[in-house]
Amino acid sequence: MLLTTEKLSKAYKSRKKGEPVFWAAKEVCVEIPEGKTVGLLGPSGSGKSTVGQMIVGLIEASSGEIFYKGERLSYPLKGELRKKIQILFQHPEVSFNPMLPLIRSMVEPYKLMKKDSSEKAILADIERFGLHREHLYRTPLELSGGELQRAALARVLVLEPELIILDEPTSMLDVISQAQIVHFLQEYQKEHETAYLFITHNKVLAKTVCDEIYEIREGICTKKEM
Amino acid sequence: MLLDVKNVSVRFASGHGVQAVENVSLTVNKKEKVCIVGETGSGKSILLLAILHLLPENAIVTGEAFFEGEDMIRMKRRQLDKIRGTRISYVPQGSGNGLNPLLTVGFQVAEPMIEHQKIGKKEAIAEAVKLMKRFHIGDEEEVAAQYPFTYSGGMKQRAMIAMGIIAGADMILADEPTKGLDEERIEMVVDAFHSLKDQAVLCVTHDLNFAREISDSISVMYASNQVEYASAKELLEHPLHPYTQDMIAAMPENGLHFSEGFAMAHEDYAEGGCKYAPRCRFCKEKCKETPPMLEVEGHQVRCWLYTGKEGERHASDNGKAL
Repeated sequence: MLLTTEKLSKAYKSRKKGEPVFWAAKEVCVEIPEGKTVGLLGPSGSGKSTVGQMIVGLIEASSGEIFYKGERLSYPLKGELRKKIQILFQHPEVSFNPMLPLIRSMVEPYKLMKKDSSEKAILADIERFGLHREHLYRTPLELSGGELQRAALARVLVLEPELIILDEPTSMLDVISQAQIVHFLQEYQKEHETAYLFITHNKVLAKTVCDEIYEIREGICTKKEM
Repeated sequence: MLLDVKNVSVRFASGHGVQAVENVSLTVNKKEKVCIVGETGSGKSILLLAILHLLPENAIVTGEAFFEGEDMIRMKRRQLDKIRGTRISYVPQGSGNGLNPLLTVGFQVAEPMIEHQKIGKKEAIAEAVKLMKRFHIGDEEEVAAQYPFTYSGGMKQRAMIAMGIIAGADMILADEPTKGLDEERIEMVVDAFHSLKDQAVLCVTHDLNFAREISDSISVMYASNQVEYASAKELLEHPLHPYTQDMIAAMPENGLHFSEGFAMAHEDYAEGGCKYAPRCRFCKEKCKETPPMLEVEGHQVRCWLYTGKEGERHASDNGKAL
């Protein structure tokens, strides 16, 4: 198993005294095998993003453990692990600095990986996502949602992750862009055996894309029979 | 015919001059539900705003939009104030932002009655509570006395629809009523639209399933152009335009079919010619010229593939053979 969560919980205390704590996620147990797509399905406010963000370390868990390849993770993640577990967000337009041309945001992971960060090297990577030289010199405002999400995906893949948390990556996109993002994710998975945690509220989408599905409601997560 | 939109175009004068809507024609009959579908930036919301005179001053609107025989595009402000809110109403995108956080929802739903029909506050709120019960927003009067922050997205959206019809409007123009909502809440909005038995609806959405649920006819827009227009059943079962076909094939329920060619930013489209040509499987030399709106098998379709096809004739400006 690539990643397992054991009784992972997040509680928020109420500011008023005497009110019960609010469990955004309660004792969530999820198993993500290598090279598979695991769905986390739930309505808004169910806690699905909370689980994803706890796994990458953006939110601190109140209790519970996360194991990666059998080893207990301690947060904040350090070194290699931090690159191996990545997240792709719902809103591509806020994933990039709005003041900078795209290329300035794109070079960061290349530098981090000590890879060749020349324009030519970046172009070679992004061409398969339908992005070209002219896109690199635009600011996020001048790009469509589909273009930005493809750029965000390309940027994440530079880090050669083993697990990507996909937090509603297509819910703000039109159907054709959605199908394209899913297609690229599946192609990449075939080549690199990457595992995905696909967070969504769309049942049909989850059924089409995922190998296994967990359903989450009011913080309680259960595995669903496919 | 309640609303008759004829060749409406919108151009923004700023910068390079963006053509946001190009020659769109459609009609909505009494009690008819029409959806405009298309991706972000296709110009569908701008069209609604143009009909309602809600665009900023740098927008140049041409064409005509007859509401019960009177052209709204050329209407004076005073005349507009008489029909907006009472005869034709607007449900804006992002319902959460459409409500004033400092006023109770019940009062806001009642406001069009107080404002336009000069009905007393108490009476109007009682009417609002009745309407909110009909839309299953809440069975108790207390729900109407609450503030918007206690409402879920679906409840807010339904409250906005209630606000739209409370003063007796015959027609609702709605902008993306399901955006950002999850399936259960979309279901609630569908129910609310189904209960609008006496009103006509012109609704902008990018959600094809929602359009299937609520509409009689569907107009498809791509990069400021209307590319296809037909009855909802016909359009979803036998799409003619390559864009409509690709869109339907890409739906998760149809297997997320992948199509080559990517959506572009506004400035990347060439002037003239078919806007979908760079992404189209059937693209040919002819597509560099702007295709006319053709009438084929009961659809209106803007594509060179169908010239010379049986039963086709050039659609007149406003003709709609459904």
